[in-house]
Amino acid sequence: MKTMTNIRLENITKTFGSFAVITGLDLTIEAGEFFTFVGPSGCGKSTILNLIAGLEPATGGEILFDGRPVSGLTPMERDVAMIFQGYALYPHMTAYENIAFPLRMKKEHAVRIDSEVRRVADMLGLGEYLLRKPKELSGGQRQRVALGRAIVRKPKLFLMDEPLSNLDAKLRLDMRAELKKLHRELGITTVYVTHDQGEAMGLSDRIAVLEKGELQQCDVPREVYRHPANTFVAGFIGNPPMNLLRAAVVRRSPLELDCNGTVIAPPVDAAPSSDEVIVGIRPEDITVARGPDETTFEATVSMIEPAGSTFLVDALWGKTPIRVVAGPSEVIREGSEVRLVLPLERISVFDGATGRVLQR
Amino acid sequence: MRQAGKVFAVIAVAAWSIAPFLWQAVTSVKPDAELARLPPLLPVGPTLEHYRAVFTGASFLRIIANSAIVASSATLLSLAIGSLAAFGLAKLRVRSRGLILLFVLSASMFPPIATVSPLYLVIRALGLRDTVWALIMTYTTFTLPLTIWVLTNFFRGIPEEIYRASLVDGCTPFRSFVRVMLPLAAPGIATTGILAFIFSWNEFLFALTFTATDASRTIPVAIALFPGLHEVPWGDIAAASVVVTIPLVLLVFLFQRRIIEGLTAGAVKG
Repeated sequence: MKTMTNIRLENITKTFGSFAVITGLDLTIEAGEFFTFVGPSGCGKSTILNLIAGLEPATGGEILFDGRPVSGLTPMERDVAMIFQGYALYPHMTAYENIAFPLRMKKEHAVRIDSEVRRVADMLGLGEYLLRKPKELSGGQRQRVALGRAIVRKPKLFLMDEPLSNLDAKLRLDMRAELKKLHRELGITTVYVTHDQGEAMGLSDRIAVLEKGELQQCDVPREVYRHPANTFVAGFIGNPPMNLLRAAVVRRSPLELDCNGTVIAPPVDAAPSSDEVIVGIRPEDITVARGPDETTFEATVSMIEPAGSTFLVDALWGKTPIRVVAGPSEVIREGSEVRLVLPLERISVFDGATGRVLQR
Repeated sequence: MRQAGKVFAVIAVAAWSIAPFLWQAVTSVKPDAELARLPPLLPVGPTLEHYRAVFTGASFLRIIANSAIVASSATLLSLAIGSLAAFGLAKLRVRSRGLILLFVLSASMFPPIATVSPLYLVIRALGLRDTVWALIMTYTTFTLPLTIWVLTNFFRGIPEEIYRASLVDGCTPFRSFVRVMLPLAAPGIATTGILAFIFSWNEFLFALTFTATDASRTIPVAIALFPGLHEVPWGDIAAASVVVTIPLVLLVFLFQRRIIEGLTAGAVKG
């Protein structure tokens, strides 16, 4: 097996005309890692892939593979393989020819090409479809052909640009598992791009959350979920998203907040810059009150949405809408009052002016 | 009822379009005596006399060969240059491509009659008068704007992702052009090829001006020169017209199938 490659992005900037798509991106993707860029559409994540692939030149900064700068090298010279959102199969070629294409371009020996194509096709369960053209294949099969075309040449690096977004929900989960398994087997550094935070959380060793071309947070999925670095990440990662509520600062040290009339004192590590902060609470961290010794508040249930094993509850805390995930055993009715617990040790507190988290 | 109306409309349009050609075909088999009389509409004693007359002597075959050489060379050249230019304009980073396309289009706005004398001077200066090269060069330049425009749109229609995929898979831009883009643009190539060929096959003004003898004369000019001193040989003209129209008809039918094939095979994603 090939040695794995790490990628270093040093202060990368990309502008189209006067429009900055990426500003000062600086991070390292470790060798063998499954690394995901996630963000809303237009955050510049696909552009990053194109820059790493060498399909577009960076405006500023340097990209290094294993410490060697790669600017000016073509995608082929960088030895990257890429999977595109629309699969980008060659419609005039059969599945076999599609998979064989990168090897043919490398002028590999015909016998070797044939054995490699068949090996990859067997691995992906494409054996019987090899002679079909893309239009005769289903979405999932096309996706597999695209995968096959990428892995057949054993590249240094996989780049995947929203590869699952054209599949239906069930197939998407299957392919997700397959991608993860494939990554584990091949051990090739993979850079993945998606707008689907669930996909990012499920697949990745680490994720980088982007917004408007700027890095918001880069960490393992659990940390990003548990400790969002700012209000954007808090609202973007997690489904249903974190509740973000405004709260007034009552006392600065130790910090005491007035959140909708309830005074709370969550632990923080930095002082807020203004008299207002934003409190972030994950819906599943809010529970229905049982004992008397908790910080609780009263809310009116406005809507209940069954979500399989749990219920999504929309409630009104005074005039503030709040979302709660309730277990199946809770007795809650629409229109009724409910006493809910504020989990102080699990609350994130963000600076009211900058949106940055005030903990850790 | 509406269906019947549609059928009638189709028949009417087809009849309207094909009538002159049928008239020509009928004329070509009428004996000379019946040519100028209207009844009978169809020839009483059909004859292949006119066809025999047209093919007597080597010159008409020579002229057909000239036409074939000129039209196919001009078409191939126009497609070769045009497809490369169109690929560049559609897929490569080209500055001010809009301006370039407008410039290309403007070249086709001059009426031929305005360019024929300066071009004649150029052709004479190059020593190409009365050679097929004079016509090949002229037709290539005159069909290029159309070729470039149509093909640019075709290449633009090929998803950017496919082009990028080919680069990642190890193609140089030129290799991608040959191996991936050109096959995908086949319907466009066929369409523009037909149009360029028909233009070159039928063109009259430049052919009349730049040619002097059978060495380079093409069909439209040759037919126009059939009339003798005292009479117009309508029968021979008709026979010649039929002979030279058949290749065009065949060509169109042949490529039409390819065009439809190409259009339906283009599915890229589900």
